[in-house]
Amino acid sequence: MLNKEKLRDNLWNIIFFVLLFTLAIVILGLLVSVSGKKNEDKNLVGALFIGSVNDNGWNETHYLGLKAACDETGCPLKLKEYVKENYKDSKEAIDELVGKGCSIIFLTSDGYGSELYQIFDEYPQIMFYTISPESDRDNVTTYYGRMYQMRYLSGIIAGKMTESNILGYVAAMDNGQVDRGINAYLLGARSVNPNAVVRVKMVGAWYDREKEKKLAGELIEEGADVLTYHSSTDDTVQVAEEKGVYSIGYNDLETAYSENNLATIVFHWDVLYRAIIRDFMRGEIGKNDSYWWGATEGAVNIEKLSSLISGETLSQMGEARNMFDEGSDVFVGRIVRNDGKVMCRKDERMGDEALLMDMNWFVEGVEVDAD
Amino acid sequence: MPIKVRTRFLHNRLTPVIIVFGLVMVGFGLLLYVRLDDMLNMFENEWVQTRANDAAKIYSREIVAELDRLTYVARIMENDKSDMEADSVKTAVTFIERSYTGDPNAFLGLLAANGDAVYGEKLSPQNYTGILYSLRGRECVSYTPSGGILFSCPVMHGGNIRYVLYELCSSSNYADRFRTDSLGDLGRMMVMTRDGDIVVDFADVPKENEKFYSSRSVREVFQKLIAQMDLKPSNASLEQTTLGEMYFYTAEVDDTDFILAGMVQRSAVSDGLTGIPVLVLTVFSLLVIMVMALAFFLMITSQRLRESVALKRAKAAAEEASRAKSDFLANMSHEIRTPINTILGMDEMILREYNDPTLRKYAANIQNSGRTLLSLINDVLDFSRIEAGRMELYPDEYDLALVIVDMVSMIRSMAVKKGLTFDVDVDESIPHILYGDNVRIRQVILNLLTNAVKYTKEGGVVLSVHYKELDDENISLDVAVKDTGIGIKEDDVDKLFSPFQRLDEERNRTIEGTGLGMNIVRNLLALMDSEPHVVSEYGRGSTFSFSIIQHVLNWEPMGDFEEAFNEAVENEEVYQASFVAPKARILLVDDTEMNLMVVKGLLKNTDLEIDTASDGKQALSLTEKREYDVLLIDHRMPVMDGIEMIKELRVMTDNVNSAKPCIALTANAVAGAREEYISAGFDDYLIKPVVGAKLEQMLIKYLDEDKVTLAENVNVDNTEENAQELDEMGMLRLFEEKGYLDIKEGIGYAGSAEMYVNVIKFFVSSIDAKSEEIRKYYNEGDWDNYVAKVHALKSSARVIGADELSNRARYLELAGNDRDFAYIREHTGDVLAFYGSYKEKLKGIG
Repeated sequence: MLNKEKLRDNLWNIIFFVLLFTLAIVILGLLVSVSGKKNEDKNLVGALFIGSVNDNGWNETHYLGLKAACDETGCPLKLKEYVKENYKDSKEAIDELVGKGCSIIFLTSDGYGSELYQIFDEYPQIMFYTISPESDRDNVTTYYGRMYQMRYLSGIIAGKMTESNILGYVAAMDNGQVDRGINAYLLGARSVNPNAVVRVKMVGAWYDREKEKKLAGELIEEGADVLTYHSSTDDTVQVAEEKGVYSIGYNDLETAYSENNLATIVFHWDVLYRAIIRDFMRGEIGKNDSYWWGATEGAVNIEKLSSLISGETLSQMGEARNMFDEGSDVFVGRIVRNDGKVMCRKDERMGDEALLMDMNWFVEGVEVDAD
Repeated sequence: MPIKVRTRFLHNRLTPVIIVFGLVMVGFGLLLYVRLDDMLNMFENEWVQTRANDAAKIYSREIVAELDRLTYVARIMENDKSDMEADSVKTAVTFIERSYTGDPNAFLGLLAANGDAVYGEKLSPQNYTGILYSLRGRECVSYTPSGGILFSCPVMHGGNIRYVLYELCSSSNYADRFRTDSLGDLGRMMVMTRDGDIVVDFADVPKENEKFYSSRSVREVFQKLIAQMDLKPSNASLEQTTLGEMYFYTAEVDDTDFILAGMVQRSAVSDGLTGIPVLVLTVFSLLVIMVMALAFFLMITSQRLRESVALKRAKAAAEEASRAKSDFLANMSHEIRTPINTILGMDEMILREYNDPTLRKYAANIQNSGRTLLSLINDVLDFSRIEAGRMELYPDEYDLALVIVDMVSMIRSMAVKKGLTFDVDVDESIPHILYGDNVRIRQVILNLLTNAVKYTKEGGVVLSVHYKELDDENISLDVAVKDTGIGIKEDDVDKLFSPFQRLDEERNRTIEGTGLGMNIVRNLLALMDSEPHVVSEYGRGSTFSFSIIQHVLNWEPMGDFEEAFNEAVENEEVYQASFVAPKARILLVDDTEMNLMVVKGLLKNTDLEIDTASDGKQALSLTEKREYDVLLIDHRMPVMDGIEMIKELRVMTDNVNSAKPCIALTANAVAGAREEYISAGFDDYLIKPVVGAKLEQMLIKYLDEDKVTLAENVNVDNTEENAQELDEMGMLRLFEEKGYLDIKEGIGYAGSAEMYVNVIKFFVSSIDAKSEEIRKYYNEGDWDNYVAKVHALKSSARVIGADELSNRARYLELAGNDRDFAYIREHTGDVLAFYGSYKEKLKGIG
């Protein structure tokens, strides 16, 4: 009931309350706009895995390495497993991790690459580290080990130990990473045994135990007396063991193999993770740097050397290692493709970029069974 | 008052609220200031970072430019179509030397893909990460462990590296070529690697600050900044240093692994911004102060408002009460006076119409008592009116002589009856027409005089009236009443003027009065800007005096007032109608039947035709039927009162009485009343109780001359003249001269001189018998009868005007009633002797 007299009587009261209200709004506004000190916990680490972190293989090695690095640096770790290497699945996983407050996310597989560029763009304040060489964004950096150096060393062993000169190789798929390994293997073998040949059979997937077993068996039948592989699991070795044939493991954590299992080449992911996280915490996030660390940095190694390996072999391996330390590398000097093309001349050296991005060919001496 | 106000506010529950609000606002203000400061700091910080970034970009370009020179050479080498297998080295060297004209202090070198030096020194990739990077296909600028800067770039062949071309500068060489001081006015800058190695140190640092610039704490700040850079290309923070407040900043130098770091004085950055928080805070404070002030103001005004509302209500209530009181007084005035008016009026009728001495005696007593009652009630009403603050003066013009005369006549008889002398000392030159409230003046003087008489047993009272000229318009009228009475004790003087209190209660018990008189006197005098003075000696007498300022309307001296007095006396009392008007008709309107009777009675002897009505409406209908000569209309009546009636009458153009003289009758003596009645339409007014003489005068004035027949003045003189024809009259005169009798009184009681003589004769003849009776009862101790006979003596003595005898007899009567035997024994003899002496004294009357 608003009559003029009441209004007049209360005029000053009304003015007062209006002023008070305005003041309150002003204060509130100021508080809201100015508040919000950035208090990010920049140490929360996230990671995507293509499979289970208990697979005794690829994912587990990553996981162990990452966990070790995180524990050392005191960073909490959040995982997403079984994340497919496509936009949709990856986005879902990344969204979740970012939502939980991760400021650094590791993409622990080769396929987390250009398909995810959109996601990287969405989170410019998050740093991504990916196994994939495709990292053409400011907030993405490739990290990987120069496994090919170990392939080379294991190639020396294989070259020395083989009698049939057929080195069997079960490969998951025909991509740069795999091909590079195969090529290095061959180069290593040929450096001690010019007659060695690498026979490759493609599985078609990173994970297919049955097929791997089958192909391994085939290779043995075709005369290979040293088997090695590039896939997620070690079924090739198992078959080799069964058949009493030499094998060389890859990222293999199994220890109950015979001496026929001549060696295992491994990543020391923890070295990389540690370095990356430390660099990240120190703010050393270079825009175009990649972490492709090799033998010298301790990111890759050849281990569980069998007693069957001769001393000569070992010293040859040692020499090769020195070479690496001194700055030389595997793909230095004359390299000829298996179709005869000279890919690298004798006074040349293959660049990292070419190695990473363009090695989807095989050197002379590699026979690929395109099944 | 201020202190009371403050405590009042302190108790108000709003005050703590406002204070708390103030404190909260202060808190907010501080918070605001801090936030603002933060905001500004953030702004400054961002600004510094942006500038640092810009500087880093510039620097980066410089470096890249240098690298570009190398890559330029490398490109040239690459583009050489010749197969560089064999002569590659030579060709390369030629190319280098030809195309690269760099600084002599910089070392150029060319390495083969396997690391061997083709030209210049071999730099092992193990020691020089730049070489390693370039061997892997990247151009880079790197810091060498020996403190030099290495520019290296690969010479490609397709995707393969053929050579690595490098330029190695010493740090001083580099520092000279790549200066930081021209990058922008951001203080001092230096270039460092991420690990903290100094690439280019601060340039041109003044000697006294060298320590500071190379201090570890500075480095630590830079390291901290670098660590916190995250994905941002730059970072900055404000630090307090020995050189003052400085902004430390770091910025990535693109395409290198270097960081541009530096610091700049805050003052250089925040120019003009520092005032902002202060300004905002000032405005905020003002706003808060305003709000609080407003709050206080509101609180105060609302309190005042509440108070004033409460006051208003109280005032209204008080006014209401006062009005009620006034109305009550007015009503009471009217209500009480009306019956008294009736009593006195009826009594007057009795006195006029009946000559029986006993009856007249009773009637006289009634009159006395009635008048006393009236005066008592007037006192009480006056007192109430004074208490209610309703007493006002109504000044009017008046004749001082008349006033004095009236009072003297009233008091003289009173004094004489008591055996006291009464003298009047009046200055004859007093201007006689004055302007003042003569009613109240009379009241004051009368009060003083009556008191003087009351409290004096022997001796006399003197009234003196003098004046002093103040200016040509005003005089000071000085009045004094002196008596030889019982006096007042000094301590009692104060009590004198207090209401309700009477002094010496014990002693003065027998003296009648309300005790209000003096209080009224004082209040009335106060209204006249005056006050009463008392000079008294206990047991000897008192003098009461006062002075009032009176406006003079006519300076003509009053003259001898005694003459006027005598005239007045002579014209007094013996009543006969002063006129007859048998042909005239008047209309009398009054709601009280008694009043109608009184007036009719008063006018009986005028032979007027009198019609009556009891309210205005009735009266109006009568006026429509008959023609009247004068209308006497009461003011306060039901249905239609006098005012309404006259107004109606005056506009009734076809009413024959419309313009006839109308006289208002009112119980209220209010000045301004005259004006009120006149403006309503009346021609004049009379105050109730209606005085016969005034009524007659009024009628004479307003009745048609030809209808009025004036009677010859019948007065005492004539009476006496007639009586003189008789011997008796002469004798009576003689008796009076001798002080035996009061003729006027006696004639008054008797009705006429003739009757008076008869009464005296009767009196004289009965002296023996009556005094014998008294003696008999006295001797027998039959006090009841004694008292009765003494009482009878008192009355009869009075009737013949033998006041002294009457008084003495009265005292005996009183003593007898009290069984005061001492007094009786002492005085009965005297009285009887005195009584008996009248036989001798009045001998001759026969």
